[in-house]
Amino acid sequence: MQVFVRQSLAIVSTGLLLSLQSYEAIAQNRSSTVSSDSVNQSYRTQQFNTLPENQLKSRMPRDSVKASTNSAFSAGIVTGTSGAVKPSNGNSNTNEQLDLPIDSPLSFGTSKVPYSTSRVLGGTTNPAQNNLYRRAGKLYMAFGGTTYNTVCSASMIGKSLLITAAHCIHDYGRGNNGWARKVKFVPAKNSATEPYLSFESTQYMIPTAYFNGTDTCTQTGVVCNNDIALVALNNNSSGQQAGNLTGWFGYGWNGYSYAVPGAAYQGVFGNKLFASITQLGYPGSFDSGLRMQINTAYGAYYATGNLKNTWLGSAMTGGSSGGPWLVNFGEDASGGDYGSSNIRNVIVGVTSYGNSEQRMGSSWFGQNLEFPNAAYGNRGAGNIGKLVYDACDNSALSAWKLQSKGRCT
Amino acid sequence: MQTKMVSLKFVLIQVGFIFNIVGIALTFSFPLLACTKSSSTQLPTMSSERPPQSRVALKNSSWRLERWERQGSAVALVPQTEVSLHFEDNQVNGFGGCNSFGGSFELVDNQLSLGILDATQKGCNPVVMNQEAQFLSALQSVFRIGSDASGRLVLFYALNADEGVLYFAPTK
Repeated sequence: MQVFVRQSLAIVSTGLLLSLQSYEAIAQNRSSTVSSDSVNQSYRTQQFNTLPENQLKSRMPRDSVKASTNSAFSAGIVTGTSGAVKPSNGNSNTNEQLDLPIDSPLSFGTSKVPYSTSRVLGGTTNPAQNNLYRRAGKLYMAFGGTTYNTVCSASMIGKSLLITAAHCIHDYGRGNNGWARKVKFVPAKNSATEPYLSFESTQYMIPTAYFNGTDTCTQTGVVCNNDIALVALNNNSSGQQAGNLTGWFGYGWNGYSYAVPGAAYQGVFGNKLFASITQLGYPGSFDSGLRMQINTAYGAYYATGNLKNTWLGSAMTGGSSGGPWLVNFGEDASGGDYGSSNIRNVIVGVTSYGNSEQRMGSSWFGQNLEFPNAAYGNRGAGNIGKLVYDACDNSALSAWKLQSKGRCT
Repeated sequence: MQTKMVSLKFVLIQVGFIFNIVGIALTFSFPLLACTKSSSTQLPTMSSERPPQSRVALKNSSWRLERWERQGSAVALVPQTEVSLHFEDNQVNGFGGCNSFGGSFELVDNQLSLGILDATQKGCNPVVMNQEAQFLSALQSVFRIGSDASGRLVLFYALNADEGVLYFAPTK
């Protein structure tokens, strides 16, 4: 049940973002799964009679243990072979007809970078239509003609403002010959179902450096600073704006919600800039690209020379390009402490590239060599700030100015 | 840090017609790539070392895949799908038919090895995707380089039990 919708504007140390979020009240069952410390005792489910909330006390001990530096890893330290027990298949979801092989959660490729990739879950008919998921969708592109012949993923960051990867709508460095002739966005697509219809466009925006092939790249046209694009969507055939139906994600820059583990923990977690990232998309190798997939993994900041990227482990494949990389995906529970940089559902990257070792990359949202400014209007810093500013506010771009047309945020 | 103001390329393409286009369903079943026995091309010997061909100039060179032989048979390439390769310094990049890819390479005499290749992640017709995936796997398994009498770049690869040869015509 939707309770209310709010728009929040927050200015934080590392970034400013706009986020429209919907909240749902969720009834919780007081059924808990408990386990025993005793060896060989089975897991079981038990119904508890509980005290009133105000009489409950946490039994979680305070963590005062300082982790010592990890020893250098040696295979001899770990005794035995790792393993796992499969859970039950108690999923009555009607979307189970296509029992295609997909990666189990918490797996990894030859990159040995762990990830958890699966179908999106929930609902009874179309999981992708659930709130939050439905802000993402499948993107069809027509290159070299007017027939849709290529696919990507994308998501909403405004009422009619779509974000995807630049390579989904333009061939790197090919100037005016590089454009897709048109695109079509289908939010929450699930098999043949298009719950919000589709939204076409021929109005795109990409960084100049990507357009003319001068972007900072370590692999030309693949591993780059600014593989980001915005699309101004037309209304659907019912005259509706996509974002008014689905809501839209916020966006962040310069490492919003990324952090380096504190000194006491670097011995275990390492001295790296990390974020906990949720990736959405429609990879063609999973359910034939007909259903939305989700991946959660730790994303690590990757920089070399002037290149700034984020890397993570993922099983997604071709068709996932342009899908959002989100921090703080989900919604707040009442009373929860979510720490710092905790604004929900903030895009900090889009799927840009991957390799056969199941490691994927995204251009870094924020300041870089090509977009050095700390602020573009009030739309934020660096590449993403400039793109949104130009799409929504820049008076020199009369065909855009989406804000004044009621089509931005 | 160098300060450089970069403006965005703004492009508005107004389409004056309403196209009533039915998108191609990318989920159709397509026939797998067929292998046909080659009768016109002599497959270079894999096991007996021929004298090295004249050194191929890879630096700043561009190539287009023209022929692919696997286990002695020619692979039928997907029509109207260009597969390309470009070498520059120690970097290699190209187009696999759907996605751009790139990586590094090392050449010592005629021994060529490519690192893991990164590729953009668009989706295309499954036949094209299948060819692209196999091509990238083959490329990452190249171990030797040569050229033939036509001036083509010849790459020999071995991937587990799969051995093959890729022939590229120069494009510049």
